[in-house]
Amino acid sequence: MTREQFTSQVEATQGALRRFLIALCCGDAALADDIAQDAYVKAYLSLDRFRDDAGFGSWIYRIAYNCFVDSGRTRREHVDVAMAAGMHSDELSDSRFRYQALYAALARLSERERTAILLYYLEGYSIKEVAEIIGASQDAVKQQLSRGRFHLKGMLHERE
Amino acid sequence: MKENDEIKELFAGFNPPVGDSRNFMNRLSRNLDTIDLIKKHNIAVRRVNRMAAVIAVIAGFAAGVAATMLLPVLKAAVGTVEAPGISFFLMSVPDLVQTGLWLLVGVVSVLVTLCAYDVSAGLLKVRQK
Repeated sequence: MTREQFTSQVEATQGALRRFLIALCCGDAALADDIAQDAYVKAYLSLDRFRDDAGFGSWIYRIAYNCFVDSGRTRREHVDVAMAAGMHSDELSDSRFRYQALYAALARLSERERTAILLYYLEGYSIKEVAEIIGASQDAVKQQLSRGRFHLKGMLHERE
Repeated sequence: MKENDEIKELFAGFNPPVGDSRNFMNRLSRNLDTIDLIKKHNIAVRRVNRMAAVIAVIAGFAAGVAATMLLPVLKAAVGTVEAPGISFFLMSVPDLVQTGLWLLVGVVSVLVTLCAYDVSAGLLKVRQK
């Protein structure tokens, strides 16, 4: 894959990937962008290992998920979201905190549950694809989805 | 099933603002430029090292051949040594001279190889710049 081909793949996927990462980082858009940049740079560095049959989309999501895990800033984002969840929406811009309740609920899920839920429900990947992206078995993904669903629903109902 | 639909609904309208795509692409482009630059540099360094290694091997081999051809001359020169202690020592261990001279050939070859590598790598780097 040439640089031009890579760039066109990035242009096609960056919007969805950044949206997914924003949700994964529970609303921290700057962190999400940093992780997205990291993911694309790592993908560019390992283009030789990319096989076309794997599909660029799921490949970049796998790299992005690993970058997110590596970033090790999960604890910080939990604190931020917990703080954000405590604020009233009229204190801050509506557009930024439109998804405040969702982010706060997502922040209380484990990393794996959150990733599985987002890949399955937000990005529409199948259980098999989610398993490949996060490097787990399909049974484990089913469990994570089930637990994630249960927690998410419980937390959102709590807030209502 | 109902639970599933509720979660699907939850994400159906999820569309947070992701920031300017152009800025993101520009930033990525700058990162890719840096990577390309480093990649190019690494390829050039590998090429220089490979060339220098080839030159060094050839130079070392040539030095070894030259030193081997000089062996009879060196042997004759050692034979003319007149110091009585040394002569007696050399006569009592007949293979010592031969072994010593071959060792000398080896050392010369290795030294020439190493020097040739350093010099050729340096010159190739200068030429590349």
